[in-house]
Amino acid sequence: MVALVDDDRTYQFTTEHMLRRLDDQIGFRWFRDGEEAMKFLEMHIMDTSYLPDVIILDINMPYMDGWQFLDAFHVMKTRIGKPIDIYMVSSSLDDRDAIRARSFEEVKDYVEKPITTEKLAAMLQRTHN
Amino acid sequence: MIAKREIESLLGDATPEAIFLHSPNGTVRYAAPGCEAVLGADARAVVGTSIIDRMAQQERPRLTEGLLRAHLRGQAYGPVLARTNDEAVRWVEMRTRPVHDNYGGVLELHTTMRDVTKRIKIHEALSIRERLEREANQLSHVGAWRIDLDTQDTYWSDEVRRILEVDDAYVPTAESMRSFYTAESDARAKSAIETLLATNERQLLDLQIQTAKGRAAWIHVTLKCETESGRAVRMYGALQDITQRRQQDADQKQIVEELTRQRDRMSEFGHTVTHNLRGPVCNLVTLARLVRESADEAEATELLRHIASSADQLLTMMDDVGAVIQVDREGSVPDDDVDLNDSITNVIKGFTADIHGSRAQITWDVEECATLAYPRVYLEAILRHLISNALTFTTNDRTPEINIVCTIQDGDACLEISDNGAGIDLARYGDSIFRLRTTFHRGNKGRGVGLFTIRNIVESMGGDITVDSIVGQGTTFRINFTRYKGEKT
Repeated sequence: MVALVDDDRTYQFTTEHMLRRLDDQIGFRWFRDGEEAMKFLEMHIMDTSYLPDVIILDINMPYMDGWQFLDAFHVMKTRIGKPIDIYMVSSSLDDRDAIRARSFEEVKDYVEKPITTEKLAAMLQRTHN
Repeated sequence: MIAKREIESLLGDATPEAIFLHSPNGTVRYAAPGCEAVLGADARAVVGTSIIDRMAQQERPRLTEGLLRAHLRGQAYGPVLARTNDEAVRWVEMRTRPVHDNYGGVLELHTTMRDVTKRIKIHEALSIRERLEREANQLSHVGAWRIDLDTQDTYWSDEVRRILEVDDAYVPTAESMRSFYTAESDARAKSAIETLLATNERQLLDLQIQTAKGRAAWIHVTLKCETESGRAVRMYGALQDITQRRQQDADQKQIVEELTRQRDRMSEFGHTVTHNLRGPVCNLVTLARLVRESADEAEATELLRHIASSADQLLTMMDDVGAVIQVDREGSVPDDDVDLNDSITNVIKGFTADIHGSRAQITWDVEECATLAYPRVYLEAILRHLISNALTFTTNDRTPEINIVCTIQDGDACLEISDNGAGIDLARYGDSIFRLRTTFHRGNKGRGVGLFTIRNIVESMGGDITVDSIVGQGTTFRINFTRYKGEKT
């Protein structure tokens, strides 16, 4: 299952669209900000069938942004029933964001928008392996 | 009466002086041989001509008068400019006295002339040098001072007096200087003197003074010491007025700071804009690719709908950004004398419906600072944004209250807008609340543009905006209109 944490409605639409083209059986969940996602994870912390395998995380979001989500995730990580790969995806071109993202061990990679079907395929591939 | 022989014996020695006997109108009756050395003309050639004609043109009226005065009262005068036969110009000093007969009448005038060209030239050169020195000192505002440590005799140069603004009658003592220092400067000067006397090493320091006329100024002082057989006998040094220089330095520093702030703001703004515009553009790129790859017409139609809405979103965002850039471009909008009472009333009128619906109470106290020199459109934009925020982010359990106060703090106008609304978790969001497209309240009431725009206005006008807030209790925005002086009415 893939969870997208991003406040951009259109981005959610295109990402879901591409994922379904790759795999029409894939599970998909959308959270508008870090806090929504965090509440969901907390609620299903041992419920592996509900938990995502991949989280695609935006940086700039209201309420709880990508960095705050990563901090919170780092704390709860050991209690989560299964491994989750986080990919940070942002429209930021700032190198500092990429460097900071990669400094979190939970972050598998930092990807600049626009995201392509190939990049999504690579993420899924890597997680399945 | 002086015998001719006596006169001849008097003049006969080849003195450097020329001696004449002449009538009050200048006609020479007798010229001693020394005449040639002074006037460059043979004594015989001079006899019968006027002594006045030997002088430079511009001296003649004065000399004519002078001879008359000498005739009546006996007078010495000079130096005057003499014209010589070789056309060279030289300075002569003339002394003329009347020669009386036995009855007290004036027989003739007796004039001695001495060539003083050399002396005058030396004097001139000296005085030019002195004058230049004095002017140079004045230009650089450097004065000199000296204190004899045994007698306490104190000397201040004219420039020191000028810098300290004391008049010529002022008699300085060894301790006088201290009365001009501020307390802090006095302490530093005292310790510098102690160091100087202990080490005999030159001391340099900048001191703050208040002149005799009450002007606050800065001086640069050098202190040196003169010793005789190891004992300090004299302290001396220079004193320079550096008030202007310090002011220029301070102005320059302020300009640099302002430019640096401006540059940081522009760089942050550029980053914000590219980042925020990039989002919708990326969406457009992805959507276009999906349309191209799509085989299904219904799907393509839906994708196109998204393209249209993304394009709209992009346009809105660009308009927001454009409005902000406008403020920066207009940078030098002329100030208005804004009547705060009028402006607040005017802005509140625009929220009549919201205020009626929520029964919000808006109060203000601008008595301390009722008018403000600031562009009215900007001030009202600031008020509008902040009042709108306060009316939007309220709590459900109490009547919204908004209070506006304008005070003067350290000479600058300071506007505070507080509410009893939902508050912002500043520990969490900090300064990011002023960023573009950052919102903090669920329900998506804000576009994340208002505070960004306000900060941009305030800072581009040289002020700053800060925020205090407690979640659940309320928020206070504080704007310092630095450089925009409020006025009491």
